[in-house]
Amino acid sequence: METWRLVDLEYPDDPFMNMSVEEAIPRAVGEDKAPNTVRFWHNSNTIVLGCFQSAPLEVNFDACQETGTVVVRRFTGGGAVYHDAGNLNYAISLKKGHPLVPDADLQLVFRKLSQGAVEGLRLLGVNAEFQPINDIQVEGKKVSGAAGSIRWGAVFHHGCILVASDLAILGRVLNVPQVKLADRHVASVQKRVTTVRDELGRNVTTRDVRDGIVRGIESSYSVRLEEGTLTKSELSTAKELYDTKYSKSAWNFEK
Amino acid sequence: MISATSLSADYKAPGGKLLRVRLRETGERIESVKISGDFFLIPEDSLLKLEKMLEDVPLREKELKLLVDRFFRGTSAQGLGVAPDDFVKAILAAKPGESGS
Repeated sequence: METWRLVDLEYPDDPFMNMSVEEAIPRAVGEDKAPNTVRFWHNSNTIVLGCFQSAPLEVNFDACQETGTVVVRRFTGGGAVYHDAGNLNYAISLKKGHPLVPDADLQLVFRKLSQGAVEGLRLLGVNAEFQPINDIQVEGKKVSGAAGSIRWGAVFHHGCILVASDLAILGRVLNVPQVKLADRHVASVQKRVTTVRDELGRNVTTRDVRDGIVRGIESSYSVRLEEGTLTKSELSTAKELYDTKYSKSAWNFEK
Repeated sequence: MISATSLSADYKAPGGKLLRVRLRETGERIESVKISGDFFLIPEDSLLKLEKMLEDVPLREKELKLLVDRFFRGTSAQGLGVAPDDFVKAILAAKPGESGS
């Protein structure tokens, strides 16, 4: 049975460092400097923009200031997401050409690599299903979004799961364009998303969901996850990415 | 001297993602264009190349379609949530009298 590394390294109060680590791992996996890896992590109040999004168009900066929300841009496409302590992030980095996703097809990446999270949520009792293009839904409401890329010799997929997030802040800090809301026939962002807690009708922690997804990944992909740490080389790459990219306004705001 | 006009549009690809276009037009040609949105495109840095290729192209469907098709044929770019034609429609939606859908 294949073994993947399991990493819980996180910097909840430093979203720029979280994103630096997020990029350092697939770079190392692609260069054969690290094994296939699953990472779990949290951010405090943060908007994470997709790499193609315009910060001024997507972000309500006044609401960010009022709520202490930080903005960081990720290296993958897709839409803006709001992170807080009730939001669990997971990331899967595989060497390019891995049998799970043999083709360089991003839709295949999302479909295959969402399955572990879907299975993990089902194990917890949530009736989750993958919804193309890149969502996990429960009864038509989004509980998780994913993004990903194929680069640096790696296949990369990451997602954020709304476990017990503050949906009211989410609705304030993000400007959701009318054209998008109209398309989904719902009046607001809060009405088209849900949380694991609300679906289960009981208190559930992000640790519970993390443990469920570990089991979901192991059973979906017939792999064993073994707890590990980042190599010195990965940490050095992350530090460099922090200094040159993710802590910089030019990267986060100038698009 | 012809002055530049700033134009913008939001265009939602059917069943897909949002394209947000901001451009400067001079004499019915694109002077510069910025395309943003929640779509996927790999390799990610190819979007800059597309934006550069669109400079000085007439703001007309035929020319835009040729250019966008050439971009996707000539690069290994792969979109998800947006088809090549959606880029054309999004840019055209910024023209006065046109509208995104």
